[in-house]
Amino acid sequence: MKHALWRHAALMATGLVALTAPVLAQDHVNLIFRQFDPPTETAGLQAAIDAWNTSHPDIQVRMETMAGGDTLAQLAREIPAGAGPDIQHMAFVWTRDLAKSNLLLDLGPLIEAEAPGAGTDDFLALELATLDGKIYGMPWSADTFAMAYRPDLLEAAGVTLPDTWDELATAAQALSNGDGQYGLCFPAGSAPDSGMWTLVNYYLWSNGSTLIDETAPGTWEIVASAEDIAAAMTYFNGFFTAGTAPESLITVNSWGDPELIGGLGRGDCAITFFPPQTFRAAQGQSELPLETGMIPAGSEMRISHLGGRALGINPNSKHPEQAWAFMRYLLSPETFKTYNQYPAQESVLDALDFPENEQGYVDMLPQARTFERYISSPIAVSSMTGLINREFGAVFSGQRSPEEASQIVLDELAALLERGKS
Amino acid sequence: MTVLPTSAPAEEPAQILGKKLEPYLLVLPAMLILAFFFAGPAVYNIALAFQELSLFDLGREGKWVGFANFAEVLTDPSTGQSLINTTLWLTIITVVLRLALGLGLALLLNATVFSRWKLGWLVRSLILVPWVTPPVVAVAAWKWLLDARYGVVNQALMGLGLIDQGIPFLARTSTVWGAIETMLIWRELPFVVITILAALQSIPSELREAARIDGANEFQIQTRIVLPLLKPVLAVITLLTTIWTFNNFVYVWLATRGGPGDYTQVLATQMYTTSFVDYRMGAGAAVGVVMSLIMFAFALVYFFVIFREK
Repeated sequence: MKHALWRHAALMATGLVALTAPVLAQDHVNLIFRQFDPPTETAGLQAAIDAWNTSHPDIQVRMETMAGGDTLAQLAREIPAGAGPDIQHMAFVWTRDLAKSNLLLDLGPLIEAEAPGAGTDDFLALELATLDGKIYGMPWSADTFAMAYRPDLLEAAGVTLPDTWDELATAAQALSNGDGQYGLCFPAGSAPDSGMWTLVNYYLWSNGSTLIDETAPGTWEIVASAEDIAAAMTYFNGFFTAGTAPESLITVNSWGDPELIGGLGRGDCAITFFPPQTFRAAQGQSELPLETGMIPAGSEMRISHLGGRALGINPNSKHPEQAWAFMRYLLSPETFKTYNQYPAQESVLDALDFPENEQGYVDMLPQARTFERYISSPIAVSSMTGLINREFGAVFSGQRSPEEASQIVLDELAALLERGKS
Repeated sequence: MTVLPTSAPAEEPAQILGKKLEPYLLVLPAMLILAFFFAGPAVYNIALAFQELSLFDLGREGKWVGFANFAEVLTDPSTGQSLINTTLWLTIITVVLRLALGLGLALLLNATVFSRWKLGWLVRSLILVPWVTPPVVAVAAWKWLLDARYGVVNQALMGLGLIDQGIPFLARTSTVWGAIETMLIWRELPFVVITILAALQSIPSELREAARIDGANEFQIQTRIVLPLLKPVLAVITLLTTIWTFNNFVYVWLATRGGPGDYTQVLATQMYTTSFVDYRMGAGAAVGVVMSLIMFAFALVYFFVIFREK
């Protein structure tokens, strides 16, 4: 009898647990946040997420990491199929492409209910995340490039920090010793995502040119001439022909490549260009101090690009409110205490103390411009990037002359523009 | 009283139907799996090749454009270069070298000396090391080996006094294909060796002994007896390695991404960049269909030539 009673009690308890479990589970929300910084740079972000999970037992977040080059295509496959992470880390330039195809949630109602930080006006480059007046992403981190160099090598060669592109070529000559030390290092690879794209645009923009531009409202035209592009090709190829940049860089695509990070630390490279987090990684590997300076000026101006990352919410997310709460946390100064990036909010950025050797970024940020001029164009930015990197690579490897390659660039840009318009 | 033999009870129509359907029901699961995982994507890819569709609109139907994607792909000058790179540099050279090296190595490994010294298991295990290395790891390792400044290959060449400065093998047009082919052959050779070795070991030793008794020397035994018996295996290896290599994306993409410039662009990398860099899924699918048709035609001609005697 006693056993039967126990059995009944156990059965009832099991039944109660079975009935209430789904309800309890609904109170506890699990979110997935996907980001694409390399694992070597995510410790601070993981610490911020751990802090969130500790203080929010009802909204638990799991971080997924994916290679940057694969993330966009993965989202484009997953979201139409009803899947994907709740919160997504995106490059600035992806946001509108995803929004156009309804692959991001319109954040308007969520912002209206609870605005992030000091309000949307405080965010840098918000226009890149806006489509037809609706906001689809929140700029999260912002960065630009600066010249990164070894002051000891410059001093030993009696070289002052170059201020213009011409001075950079001259300095590189003086800094190359023919015995494994090169004046300038940069990713000259031909891959569609090679960092060469960044330098080419700095050079063109600072010399008063650009690949394409909106010459009148709704009218997009190729601005750069064959001579402009050929001049840029000749300039950068000059480092290889003069032996002031190692030929092996023709296979290097990423700014974070060990050839560049390690090269600066070892003294194989005297000067390169880095975004802040890569500069910090290089400093971490270098026993000697590194410094940053401004990007060289061209005939018209000195300029760099304002890059960065945005955050968006998947329209398939079953918990958009909770995702928004977590996203506001990621945007808050709290996260940037451990997350090793520059925030994309002016008020948070102003409150930051920059290390002395990062002065180059402080000086370049006000002169940085977004890729808006290309993002709004009828050509996919990735197509332009692929074309430029490929043709510069063709010149560097001696496949084509600058004149031939620049003409190919113009012809393909014209075809891309035509196709984009139609 | 005599018992008349009775005929077997007549089968119910349902039973007859069940028996007739039984073979079909047995193969149905396999057919469904094939339809879902192979035929479905293949048909979707063919349909995609006739549409203009952005990567970002995969959930929707694209704009039907007829043969426009094929016309564009086939008239694009870069397709011709990619086809030459794919056919000659990536496929023909590596398949021929793999067959030659694989046959030579298999004959060596089949030598009685290894079994006499009980080393057969060791050499067979060692030869499999590249095959069990994931291609991604193999390419990454080879890129380090070939590094101009710190790579072992350049250090060795400099140590031997053959060169003064490291050669950036993957950056120069004169060396880049050789470097890619080396990576590919190193990784894929064991398949050829092991398959030929298995075929060699299935040849009865009596045939060789009989030939020797009849006065044949070792060269004659290899060319008149062994090679003809290996022919079916070599034919299958050639077909498989050709198709696998022609469609291969990994080696070129990981080693050079099609560079420097577009010097090592192959059809598979062209398909990838069209789809995932230019976001044009229809045009990318058209490249894929063209590749499949080329390989289909190759397989037909190949089988016709190789097996026409039969």
